[in-house]
Amino acid sequence: MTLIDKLAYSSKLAHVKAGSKLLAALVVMSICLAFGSPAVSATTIVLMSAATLFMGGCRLKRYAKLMLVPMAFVATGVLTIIVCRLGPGDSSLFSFRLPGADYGVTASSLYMGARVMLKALGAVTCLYFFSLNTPMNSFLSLLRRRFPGVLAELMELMYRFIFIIWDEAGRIRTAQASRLGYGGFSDSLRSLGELAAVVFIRAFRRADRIGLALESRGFEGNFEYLCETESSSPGLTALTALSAAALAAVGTLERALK
Amino acid sequence: MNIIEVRNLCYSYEDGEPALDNINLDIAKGKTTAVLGGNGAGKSTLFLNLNGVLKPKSGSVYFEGREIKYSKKELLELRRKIGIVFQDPDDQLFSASVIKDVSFGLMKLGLELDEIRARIDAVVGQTGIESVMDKPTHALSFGQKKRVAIAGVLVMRPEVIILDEPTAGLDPQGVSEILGLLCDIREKTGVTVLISTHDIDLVPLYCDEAVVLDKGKVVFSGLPGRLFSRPELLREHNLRLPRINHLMNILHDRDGLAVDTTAATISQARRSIVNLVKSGGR
Repeated sequence: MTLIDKLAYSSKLAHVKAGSKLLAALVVMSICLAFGSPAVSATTIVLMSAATLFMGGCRLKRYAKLMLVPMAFVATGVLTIIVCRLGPGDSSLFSFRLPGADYGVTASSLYMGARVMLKALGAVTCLYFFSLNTPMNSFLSLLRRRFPGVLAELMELMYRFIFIIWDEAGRIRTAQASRLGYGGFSDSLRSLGELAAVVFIRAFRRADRIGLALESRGFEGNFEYLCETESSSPGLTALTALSAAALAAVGTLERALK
Repeated sequence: MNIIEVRNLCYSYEDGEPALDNINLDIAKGKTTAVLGGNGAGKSTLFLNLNGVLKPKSGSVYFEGREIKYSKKELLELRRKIGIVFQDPDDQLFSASVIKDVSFGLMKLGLELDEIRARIDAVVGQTGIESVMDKPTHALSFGQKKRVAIAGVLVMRPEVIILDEPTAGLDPQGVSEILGLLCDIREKTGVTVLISTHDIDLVPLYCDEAVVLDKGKVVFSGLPGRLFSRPELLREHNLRLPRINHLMNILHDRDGLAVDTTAATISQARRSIVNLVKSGGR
């Protein structure tokens, strides 16, 4: 969680308007999903990964590691598509027998699996482009302009205090572990329960103190402040249009060739 | 002239235990006042009574000679003029974005956007937080958060700044940086400063006045020098002499050296010892 947060703040695109990055991700993702063809999906993966790596400046190793997370989900899902029940006389690339029926991998199931996998990963690269290059603070400013104030403010406060509570829980855990709190399974369960209780009480007390501090600063029930200055990026908009055109061309070409 | 006057102030929390008991206090304008006292002496409660977040059960608070009326409008004005920097910056910084936090409050003053930006830029430079403006609050160090919290108070151009334990949790360099910053602010703006602290040693260095609270009562109010001439009073209320002061007392009482026992800072002690040596020991 904190890794993605850190990456987003250090991205070279951090100061570009969140709106233009969201637009780029959504446009490319819709085209990728609409065509659903392996060629378009593969092009999407290459384009969006390149954007994150070169425009955003994310390190390849980190990016690859992050891609492994959705990859694991996609792989398990795709496995059930690739391996299917064989009818009598179906030709298969590989098969095995289980009580009741034959199962195996056929050319068409393999193609189908690959297609789904590429499509899913294409969508993931689009979302990663947005989330790895957009700091939460900038995304929240965008939400604030588009959504009812209360919702955006709640999200902002939650985002701020997740880290405080997370730190606090970490410190309590360390203290417990130093006193052998997580020795065995039953110890661990008990310690975890205590940790949850203590974190809850502390969060409650902190909320009180935050209330006092806000009141001291003249809080009247709504948050008003200056947002970060963000630069518009004509380059990104042009690239979005270009990518969209390229993807559409690849998709149309593939259809024509079939 | 006194900027804040407190008369017969009593305050108790819901459990009925009196937190502040018949407080009378004068805070001199433009001076730095140390509010001393052990944990639970009522320092923080007193501060919140001064800016009207807590309302006294009896007694009254005067700001610039006028009694505080607890109307919404007047309270907002009062809180603009009296800024509090809380001990834990994580309690004070509500936003994950530094600029949002610093500009909070400023937006309500009805200023032009250019003026707002100019004020923020000035304070950001003064508090030395330029390098963290683009970082999220949770990525800041404790000392940086403290500076941001001070910046958020300074942009309001308050007439009184109250700092609750400003040096707690900072390393020695952080302490001298924060105190240096405070001196700088005081010099430039003539603001009145109230500091609550456990660190007795910084009182002779930075404070013009001292107040000692214990169990909700004011047990001393006056010049720091006068306070340090009464070690028994300090001990009685769980405080101690500044180290240098203590040393000078020992040199005087046990070793029979004619040093200045009121010297509480290194420079005062040095002067006294050098004079003594030069005059041949007597």
